[in-house]
Amino acid sequence: MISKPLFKQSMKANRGMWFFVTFITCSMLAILILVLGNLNIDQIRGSMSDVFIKNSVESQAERQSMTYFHMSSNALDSYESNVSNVKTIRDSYLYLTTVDGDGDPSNGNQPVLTKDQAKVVMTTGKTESESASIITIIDEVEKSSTNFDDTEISNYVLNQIADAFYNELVIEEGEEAASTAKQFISKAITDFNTAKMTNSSLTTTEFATNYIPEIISNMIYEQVITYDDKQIEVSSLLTKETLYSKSSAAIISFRSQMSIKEEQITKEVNNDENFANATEEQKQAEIQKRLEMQVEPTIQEISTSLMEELPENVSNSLSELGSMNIYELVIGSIFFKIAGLLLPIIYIIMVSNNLIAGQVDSGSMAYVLSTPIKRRKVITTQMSFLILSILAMSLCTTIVGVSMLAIVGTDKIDLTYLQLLELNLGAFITMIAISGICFLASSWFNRSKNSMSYGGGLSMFFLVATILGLFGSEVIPSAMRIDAMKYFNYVSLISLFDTTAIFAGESTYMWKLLVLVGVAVVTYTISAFKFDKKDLPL
Amino acid sequence: MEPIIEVKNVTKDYGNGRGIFNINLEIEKGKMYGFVGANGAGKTTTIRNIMGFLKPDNGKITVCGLDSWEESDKAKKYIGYVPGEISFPDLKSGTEFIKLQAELLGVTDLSYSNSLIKRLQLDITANLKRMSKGMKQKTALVVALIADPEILILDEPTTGLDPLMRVEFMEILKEEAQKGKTIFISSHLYEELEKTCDYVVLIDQGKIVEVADMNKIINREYTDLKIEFNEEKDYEKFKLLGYKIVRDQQKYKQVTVSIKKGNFNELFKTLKQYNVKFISEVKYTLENHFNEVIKKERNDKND
Repeated sequence: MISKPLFKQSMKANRGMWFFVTFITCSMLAILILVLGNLNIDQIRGSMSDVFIKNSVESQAERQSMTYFHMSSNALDSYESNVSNVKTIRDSYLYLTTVDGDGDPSNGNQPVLTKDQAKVVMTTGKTESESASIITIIDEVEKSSTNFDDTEISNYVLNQIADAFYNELVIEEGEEAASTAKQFISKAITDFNTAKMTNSSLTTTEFATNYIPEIISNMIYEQVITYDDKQIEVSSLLTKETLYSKSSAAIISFRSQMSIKEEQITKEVNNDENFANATEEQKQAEIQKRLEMQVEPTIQEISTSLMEELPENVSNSLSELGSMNIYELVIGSIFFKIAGLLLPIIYIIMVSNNLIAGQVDSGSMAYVLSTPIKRRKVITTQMSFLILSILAMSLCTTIVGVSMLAIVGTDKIDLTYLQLLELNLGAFITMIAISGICFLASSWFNRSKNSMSYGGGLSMFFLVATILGLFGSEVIPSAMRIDAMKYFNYVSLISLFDTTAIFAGESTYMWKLLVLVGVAVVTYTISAFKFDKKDLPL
Repeated sequence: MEPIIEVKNVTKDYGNGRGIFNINLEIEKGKMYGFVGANGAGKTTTIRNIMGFLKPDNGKITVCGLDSWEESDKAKKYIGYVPGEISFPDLKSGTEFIKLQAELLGVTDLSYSNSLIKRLQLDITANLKRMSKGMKQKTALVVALIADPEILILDEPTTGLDPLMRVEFMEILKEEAQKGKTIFISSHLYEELEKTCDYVVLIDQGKIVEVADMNKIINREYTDLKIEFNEEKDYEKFKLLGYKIVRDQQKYKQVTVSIKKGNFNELFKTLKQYNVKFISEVKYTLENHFNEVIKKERNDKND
């Protein structure tokens, strides 16, 4: 079905253009992959997303510091007051039950009381819950072999407070968060006790102000966070010092904000008519209650990140820009659908015309057709030449692409070998479909000018529509996208080459390519019938 | 004898009176045919139909018994063709062109075309694009003759060639004809055909007007003589003598008479008594002949 000498003739006539176009296209692809792989075209985009990640990590550190600061200073305060309370109860109990206790013998002829008697004395005039805790402490003193010394009291209160935090958090935050908080509280109190040994005048607030940034910065520094489907180690983004200073600054801000608010609230409560007759304690409780409600908003206010400050659409488009797949845009949409197709399409337009219409128009086809050769054979030979030359071109770009990717390494560039092969397959089928249209024009018309303007014009239209459609397609970040321009994609045959699906790893691109194969089959078949039957002015 | 090319009732109508209409033609084997007609008379259309490039609207053409449209590829085995447009395939040199054309024809023995190239003193290594028109025509002829075909069809091959080249070209065709090839050559120049062809086919406005046998035209029974008299009275007197007068020009005192060959003596005897300025033979050319025929044909049509 193929005439060897005619194939040879077509080869000789068109090989110059083939080599030129193939060389340029392969070089473009090679340079593109090398540049993308080596020159870090991703740098700006990377540093942009770095800023966003850093910012979000920092604000996380700030938020946690303040939350933990608030939590731990509360815990430490209640620890201190509880410890002194318990000590007082112990001491009173021991005084009442021990003859040669600590009590001054000259001061009282008070009789030595029994345990039960002491309990009654000590709980007289107390509320029920206070009585219960006093009795619990007395029991503890009795149980203890050391009469409940300071260390034991410390541990006892510590456990009590830690359990209280656990019970409070376990309902809202869950088992894990609650036990983390419990551990944290225990450790903070132990560390506070240790610190107090060297500096007895250390207040809980001072301790927490220094202690929390230390803990938080260490904790966050070790973390691995997930951003845009990528695992990023915090230690690769931020130093421990930065984290420390951020969190300590946040705590200081938090403290000053809270003290301002406390003053305001105190004033409010004092001026409030509802509390005009209230006791000082009731007022204090109300102040604490109102202050507690201010904690969360204050933390939010101080730790607000860069992205949260921006209007939603701006922050959305910024984060989109940061997470944009530059390889999909440059290699997929720009190279394989536009830049890398341009020269092959010009080749297809020229060669399709040369193979049939050009030779009919000039009359040189007469020499071929004055030999004993069927027209069917002429058209299938020219068809095969066109298809095979495009296949050879695609193989060259595939080989060049794959070897460049091997040189650069798939770790440097967000492109797999499979994707590269799929892109080349897609480009090949797209070119075959376009060549079908050009070839049909070439075999339909007897004049080069008609074949070129209809076949070539249509192909160029598809390419131009793809270029214009790019500005409206999803690969362009929304900040730069002109949505209405996407309609150009609907009129371009090249849109059936779905590079986005290839990059997303979806197989939907296959059926679209099948449509293109269909276009090629139909156009080439009509070409064959038309050329076989038509009048030739030779 | 069965004609080697037979055109039967072929019509190819392009509208507006253009095209060919109900053409019948029988080309005998081994003869050389000229095909004349004005531009647009339908020469090229007829040839394209014979070559199977065009499908006739009506009628049928057979070449060596093969349908020129249906079995075009088989018919081409017997035909060498020199197209009217000299445009070669996009190849570098004549050598390459001839080699590829030989491959297309399935010819491996190039000795025939090589001897032809030698005889034509053709430099086929030259770049195809830079060849002169004469060289191109010679190359085209060589290409048509590679397979030594039985029939050679040429569409105005001498158009644009200088007179010397034209003569040389026709000489080669004549030789090929003498070897027994059937040659069908179209032209709008009568001269070159009348000297070489056995038959000349005249086409006018898409219709075959006449197939002239050159033998009959050259060996015509009558000879035309133009006589001019010095005196008016001699002129008037001669006209009354009853000779067959083909043309009468009173202004110049000239008459053209048609004389049967062998009757010259009688005329000369008569003329001795007249004061004659000159006598000359009017050559009866193909052009004269066809002009007469066409005039007659068109008059008939108008009447």
